[in-house]
Amino acid sequence: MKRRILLAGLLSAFLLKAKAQNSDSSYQKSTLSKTEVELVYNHYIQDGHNSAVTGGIGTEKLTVYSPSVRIGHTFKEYNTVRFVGGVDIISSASVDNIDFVMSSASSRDARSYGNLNYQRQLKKKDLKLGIGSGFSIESDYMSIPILASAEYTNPAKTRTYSFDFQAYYDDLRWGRLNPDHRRPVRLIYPVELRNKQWFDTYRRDSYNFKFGFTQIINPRLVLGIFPEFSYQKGLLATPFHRVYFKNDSLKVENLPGERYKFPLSIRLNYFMGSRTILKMNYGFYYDSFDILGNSLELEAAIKTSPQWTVSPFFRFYNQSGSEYFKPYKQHDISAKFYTSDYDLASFQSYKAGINLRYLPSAYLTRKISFDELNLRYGYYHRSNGLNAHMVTLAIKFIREKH
Amino acid sequence: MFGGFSCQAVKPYQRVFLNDPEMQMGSNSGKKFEDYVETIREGATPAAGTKSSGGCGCN
Repeated sequence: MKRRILLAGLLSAFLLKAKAQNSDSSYQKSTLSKTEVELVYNHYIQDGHNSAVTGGIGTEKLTVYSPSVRIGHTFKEYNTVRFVGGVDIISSASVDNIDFVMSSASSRDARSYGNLNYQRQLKKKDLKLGIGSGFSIESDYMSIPILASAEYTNPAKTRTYSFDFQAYYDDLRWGRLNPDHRRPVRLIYPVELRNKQWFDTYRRDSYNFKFGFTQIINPRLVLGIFPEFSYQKGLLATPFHRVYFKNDSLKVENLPGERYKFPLSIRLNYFMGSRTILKMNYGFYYDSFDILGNSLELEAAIKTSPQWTVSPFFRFYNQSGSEYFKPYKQHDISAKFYTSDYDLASFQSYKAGINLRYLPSAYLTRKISFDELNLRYGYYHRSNGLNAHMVTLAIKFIREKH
Repeated sequence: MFGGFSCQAVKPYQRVFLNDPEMQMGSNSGKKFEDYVETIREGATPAAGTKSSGGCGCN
């Protein structure tokens, strides 16, 4: 009996949720327009003792306060406009060590970003095409993306193919947010290394080619395969990262001007019984810096009621580091490329946490509904001593016009 | 557990589990944020990760 009630609840939740998904349109009420608004707050706290700003030693203490909003508006049934915008307010101890005074990216910095995408579903074809662009700006960084996407679903709606192209055009010069300049001026080097120009370029271009394939295996099992290829060129080193050598000399980090990346992700979602969904995600990664990574993430989404889902998750990641990485004062002065950035070192990382999801589907007014609430916490530990706490609170509202 | 990987035809009335929000391949906002952090704190870039914008991530 209990199981039947739960199944009935699941079915009703599905019928309400079907409006918010790309599911079989024959089950949807005709909607003139629909607007989804998600308010998100991310909080990130990190500590460690291998800051690349100080050559692989020193504090990595960091706090990020990150409010954002995601808006999706579907109109005339086939058109969707999406906007994502937000700000990351960064309070960092390590960045102060660039020049030990409030100057460039000071102890408190901010990244503001916004992206706008338009997607159109071609009539009578299960093909969606999208384009988009936006910006991301901080005191010493500006990034302009160009995005294009295509997604095809077969008539039986059991298989999808997707392709995403992303190009990011970045400028690493400082000065835009400084009241004395209001324009990009120069690269920021550590204070004691500003006697010469270390790099000829201040640009970084990135091109990502993402492919996706999902297949419904049976009424309870879905498989997803996502291969990707990325190419970067330009200034790939961070100009305010210090590197100390065996002979006590000091230079700015230097990395090759090109980088190729090959990530692959395989996902399986399995609905087990009547209330538990098992999710498995395996990730493979290799790049031309000789970094090899493997990750495995497991999540069990347990429906404690038709509205509430509790999802504990665990992730393990193993990385063999870049050939260009060496710790503080371990580099040979004759090396062509060098970094003491521990993000590129060999390590294992572990992440564990829990996600609470609440789907009230409660109408606040005749047209506006409180659709979803997510609260997520993750603890991240890296074997070289870096620890982080990540908290997210997200609330989604939907407005529909029939 | 998965009963083999041969694909079955799935009728609309059999989609109650497949259409569940938890069965979708996309990530929620919290997972997207964690993917973004992992992109910065690890040398690898996760495939199919949703990157909402560029950014230094150099702190």
